[in-house]
Amino acid sequence: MARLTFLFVFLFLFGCAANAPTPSENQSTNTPRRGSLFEPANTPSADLISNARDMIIAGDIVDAIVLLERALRLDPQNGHTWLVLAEAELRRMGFIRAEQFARKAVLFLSTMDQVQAWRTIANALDGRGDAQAARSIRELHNIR
Amino acid sequence: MTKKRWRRLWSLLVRFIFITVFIGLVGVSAYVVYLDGAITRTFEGRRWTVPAQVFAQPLEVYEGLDLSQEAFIFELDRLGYSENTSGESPGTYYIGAKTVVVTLRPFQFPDGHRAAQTLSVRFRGDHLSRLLSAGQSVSVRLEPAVIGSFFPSHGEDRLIIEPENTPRLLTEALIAVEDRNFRSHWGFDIGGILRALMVNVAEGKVRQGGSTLTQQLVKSYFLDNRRTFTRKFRELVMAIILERHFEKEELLNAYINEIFLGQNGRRAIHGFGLGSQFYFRRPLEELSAEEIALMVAIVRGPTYYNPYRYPERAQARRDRVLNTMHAYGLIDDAIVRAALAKPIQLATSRSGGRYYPAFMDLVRRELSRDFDSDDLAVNGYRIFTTLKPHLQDAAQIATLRTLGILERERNLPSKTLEAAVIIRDSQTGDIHAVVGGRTRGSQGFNRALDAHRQVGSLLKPVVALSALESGRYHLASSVNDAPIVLPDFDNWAPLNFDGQFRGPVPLIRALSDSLNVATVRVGTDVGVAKVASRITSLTGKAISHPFPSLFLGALDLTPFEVSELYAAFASGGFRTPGRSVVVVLDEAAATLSRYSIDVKQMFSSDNAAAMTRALQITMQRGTGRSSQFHSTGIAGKTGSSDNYRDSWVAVFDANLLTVVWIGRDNNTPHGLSGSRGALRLWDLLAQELAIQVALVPSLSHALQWAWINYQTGSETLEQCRDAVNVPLPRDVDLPRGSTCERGSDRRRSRLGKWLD
Repeated sequence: MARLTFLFVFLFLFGCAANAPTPSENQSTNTPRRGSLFEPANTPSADLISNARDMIIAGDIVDAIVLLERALRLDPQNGHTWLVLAEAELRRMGFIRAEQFARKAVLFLSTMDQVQAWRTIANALDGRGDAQAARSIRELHNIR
Repeated sequence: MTKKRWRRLWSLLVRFIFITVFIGLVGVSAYVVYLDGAITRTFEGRRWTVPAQVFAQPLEVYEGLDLSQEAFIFELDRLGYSENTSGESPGTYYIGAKTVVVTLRPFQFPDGHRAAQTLSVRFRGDHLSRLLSAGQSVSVRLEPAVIGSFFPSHGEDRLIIEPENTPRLLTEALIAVEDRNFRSHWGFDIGGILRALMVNVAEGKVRQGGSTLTQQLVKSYFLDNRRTFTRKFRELVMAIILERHFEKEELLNAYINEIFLGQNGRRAIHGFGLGSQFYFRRPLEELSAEEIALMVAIVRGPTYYNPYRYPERAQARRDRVLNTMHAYGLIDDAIVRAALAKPIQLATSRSGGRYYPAFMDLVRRELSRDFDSDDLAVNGYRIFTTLKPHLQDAAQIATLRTLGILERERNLPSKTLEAAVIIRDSQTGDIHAVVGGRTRGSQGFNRALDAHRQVGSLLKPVVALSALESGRYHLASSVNDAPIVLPDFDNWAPLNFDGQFRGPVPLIRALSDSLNVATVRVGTDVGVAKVASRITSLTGKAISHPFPSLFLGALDLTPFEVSELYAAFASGGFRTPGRSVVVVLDEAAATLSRYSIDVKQMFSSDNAAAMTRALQITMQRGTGRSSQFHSTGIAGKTGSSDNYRDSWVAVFDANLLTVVWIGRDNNTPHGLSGSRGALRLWDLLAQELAIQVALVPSLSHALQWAWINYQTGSETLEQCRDAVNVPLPRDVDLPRGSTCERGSDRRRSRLGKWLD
């Protein structure tokens, strides 16, 4: 019984710490191989995203989107850029684009950050008048 | 005849002469008035057709960028930067022991103006380790390369130079050499004509012309090159009219922007602004004294003094111009000595549009939706695109090399194979390179956009995707690779490439090994209409009357359309339309049209994960395994059509998607499968790419990763041979395998004993 208890405790702690398994057969991690030309390792897109957020707050949506697209060209796999782009579209009532950009953001965001993306998707669906789909999203992802 | 009669005759003659002269004067006056109005109106309005300039994507430079010093210098050279001893003036760089100092030129980007900026750049190996401006870490954009222009049908191309950007040395040299009394005459110069006559008679050939700058301007702008008295008279009158209405500096600026300076195929180089780029690949304000002298020398006869074709002749005239500049005190002794000692140094590439014709073709087609071709060619627009010149160059070089190798290896007649390549961003849809054929710079048939070729096995992933979407299949689902006959379709009995049948195989293997029979079974079960509909949704191409042969790729697509299809796999399930234009600005830098990134989710991220994983396995151990990059995590599919007329590959990672086609324009077989042909081209190209793992979306709670045997689809362990890790439904019940599973049974029994 003690051994069983120990085993369950161990598995519980291990399960909390582990991420979902990823393919590993002869496969490198997502760290890119160092090639000969032009690889976006550490990009300055963080500054661009920050500036874009300020622009959105100031109501300068069009210029913010221009900046975000530039950030995407620097680092297309940055989920935050896609998410801020979705939020910018939401601000100017581009609900279809907002939903799609937020769905794209989900691909790259951590599980925790995905919540904001799903929230944006739900808001976009509301904006389009699809309240039922928005409700489903909120329920599925436990969003208030 | 009597005296009286003579007197009467004389009177009549005088009257006749008087009336004739009077009528002549009236006629000439009327003509002059007409010319006056016409010239003034034309000259005051838009004076020139200003072609649109087309720019590549700017290179963003920041600390941490994977960029070697050599590559950085190469990019600066591409932009026409020159090396000097300090790097402190715009358009120059200095290579120190540990640091490169470069001063970027000012540039008007679509989102704002960037002033000239001096940078200090350090590298560590292949990385840019430090980037400072005024002591602060910065990230910057190099100005984008000009990759071409859209010029009108008459071929005139120019870059407008404003007076404030015109080097004084150029204007003074022009006056000294071509028209020393420019600032004082009224459009014509009697002294200049006589002087030229004396020099030409003395030397026995035409050394000097007697035309003023104003007359040359009139000839170039309004008239033609005919050497007739009438044309010369018109030129004279028009020159006087221009001098009457416009200031000298206006006329000089017009001359600087109008004068013909050379021909590049269909493109006529007008104006010193474009001439500077054409001959030296640098802006006018950065030219040295000897370079300005050469441009002034060319004015007298751009064909006769073409420095590319007649360098000695051009240099001799340049030297005469330098001596004239020195005689007039425009340059001092030291400068003229140094300038005379230098040979002519021209830009090695005379590109500007002809270099990337396939990509420019794509740009033109995209813009044709919103712009008239005439508007593009005359209004001075600035078009910013997604081209990455280094990828374009790499693709073109890989194409030429590979085709040559393949022709030699297979004893094919030389230059009979053709190819097309498209490289695009996997996530944004930006088109970074388009190769339309083996010949760089050719403006012929654009195979990337217009070659409709049978795609063969490239469509099999769509069959697999349709199967997954039906809910009745997963990657380990068993599919019978056994003979099949379709009685409703003329008893069609497909065969595998080797004529063999493998019996029950998992879906992943059917796709990865490109098994025809298994694919047809799956496709038939799912339904050809569903598969056709899926293809249409991903490519926009309508398929009327689909047949089961569609499962094996009996469909013609262009390489561009194939890239649209595979973009959905590369991007994690999103339709990401390819685009080459980012924004179009007018002459005042106002935005005319912006083309935003556009994405639309087409299938679930779970299916996207499954398909990407399947295509990774295809490259690792399926038909793509001959690639030297097969184990790097890339995903892709090879394909070939009946009788090996078309060789295809589509390969992607998280960063880039590349589609390659090889074939013959006359559609005759060449014997190359996808892996033996197109994949080899991609392998050569990939040596210049920074390979990443393909994007595999995270799984929802409905799926989990599982190890299965690649051959049989049964459950297995990671360490077993033929084990592949694939996403499967959580509730899937896999058959337990026989090989290698005994180890797992022993471990379970030990665990079981420990728990007992």
